[in-house]
Amino acid sequence: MNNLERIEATAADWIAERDHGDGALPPERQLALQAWLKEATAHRVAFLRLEHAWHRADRLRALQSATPAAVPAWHARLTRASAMRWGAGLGAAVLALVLAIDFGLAPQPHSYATARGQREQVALADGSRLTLNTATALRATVTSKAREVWLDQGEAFFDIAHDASRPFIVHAGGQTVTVLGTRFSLLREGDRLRVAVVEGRVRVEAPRAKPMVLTRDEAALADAGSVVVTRKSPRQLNASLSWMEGKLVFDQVTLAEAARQFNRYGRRQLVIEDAAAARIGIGGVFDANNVEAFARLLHAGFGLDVAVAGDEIRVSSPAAGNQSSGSAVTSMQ
Amino acid sequence: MNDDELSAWFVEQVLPLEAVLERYLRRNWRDAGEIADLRQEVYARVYDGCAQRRPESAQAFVLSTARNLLIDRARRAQIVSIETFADMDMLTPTVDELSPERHTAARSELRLLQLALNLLPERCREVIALRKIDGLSQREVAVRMGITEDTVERQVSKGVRALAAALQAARQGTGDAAPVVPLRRKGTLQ
Repeated sequence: MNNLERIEATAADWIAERDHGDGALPPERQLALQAWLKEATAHRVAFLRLEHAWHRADRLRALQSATPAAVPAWHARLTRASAMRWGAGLGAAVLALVLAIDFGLAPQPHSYATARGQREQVALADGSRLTLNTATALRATVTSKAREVWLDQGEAFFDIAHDASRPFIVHAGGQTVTVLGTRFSLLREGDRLRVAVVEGRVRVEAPRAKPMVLTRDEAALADAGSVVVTRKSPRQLNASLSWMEGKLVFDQVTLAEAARQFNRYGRRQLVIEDAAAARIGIGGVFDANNVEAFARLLHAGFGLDVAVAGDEIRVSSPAAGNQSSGSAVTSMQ
Repeated sequence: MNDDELSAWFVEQVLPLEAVLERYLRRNWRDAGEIADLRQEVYARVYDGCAQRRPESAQAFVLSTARNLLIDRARRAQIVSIETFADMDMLTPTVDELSPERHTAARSELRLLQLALNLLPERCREVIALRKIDGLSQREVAVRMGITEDTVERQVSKGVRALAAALQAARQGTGDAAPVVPLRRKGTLQ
């Protein structure tokens, strides 16, 4: 027990030190942390567990009362940066000055973005939680009066805290999605928006179409002129959310479509070179971040020719005379 | 799989199972003081065990690892006493434990955090509250509370440990504990 306590105390000290630097360590300390983590798995799991608890606690922001004395986050960042540059003495003066200017300014939206292949969870000030998928960008503003998000690009899952006095509104291109409190996902494809509802009620509006209200297990595809609603089985819905666990689930989609989805995640892009290969039906569960493994399976399972050329993986039907073998459904861990 | 991927998987799939794991350990191990140690040992074994391949069900893998660990420990301690556990079957996870845990909804997660916060020692709680609720930096917390930045950092260190433990205790307290007479489904795990 003593050993565990020592390990946990060290892990906690690291988190506190990193927190002192607002989530970042100076390079030599970062190296020291990595070295300590590598020393023993017990170190790493203790650290991950505490880091997770600290991260979860971000949700407590929702309890902040919206009084004039409260300092919005972007604001605090500004004052901290100034204080560090000019020294503690001037810091207080700067803080007072900025506070005076800030009265009456509307809060700036916070921006969040993920890189390709990255997945990120964001806690909003109202207790809602967003999960951003690969290559996603959105902006969020939460005040005591309103909750708004702009989905500029990509895909996100929304776990929204119920608040009848503040409807949660998402703007995605021309479409608008309004909820009170519910769980749903949005995928923006240029001017089209895909909606899938896990729980609750979601209202979807498009510029030139009648608004539609979706409930549990319903999905919609909205463009500028229409909102088309379909019912999904729970299995289909879970499949469309498998990205939240880093997986892609295909249920007899064409290889062309599978490649298109994979290509959202990695630097290496799948290129399907001929129409016959593109039409092959794919089924199974795949690791979204491992397109190389998928390509190997295409070769092993379908006998397709696979060639890596720089940032491309070129896939084509086998040269004449070879038969493809293997089942049409493959799955991997 | 590199460390970053494995760690991400561990945080997303294994850590949310802490309540289930602790419940299982508490039910099957007499010495309550050893539960934390057992839990961390399970985590380390799961982390190492999944370095090459991730299991289909994280929950089943974690519970099966826990079961094997308890058997190991019992053997090594040569606990032949019937009191420890009546028979090996007692270690079989319940249907409750095998069914997939839903992700905690936003609202109840916040409630859980509030409960956890209230379980912290006074000074810790104030530091954590200023840091997490009001979003003050550690430096601003020091100014507000009239203490040194070093002290704030130390309180954050104590606080994050207490928070992790309190989140566990709060979860047990909200009635997520296992039913008194659990249904058993035998033969599901090796």
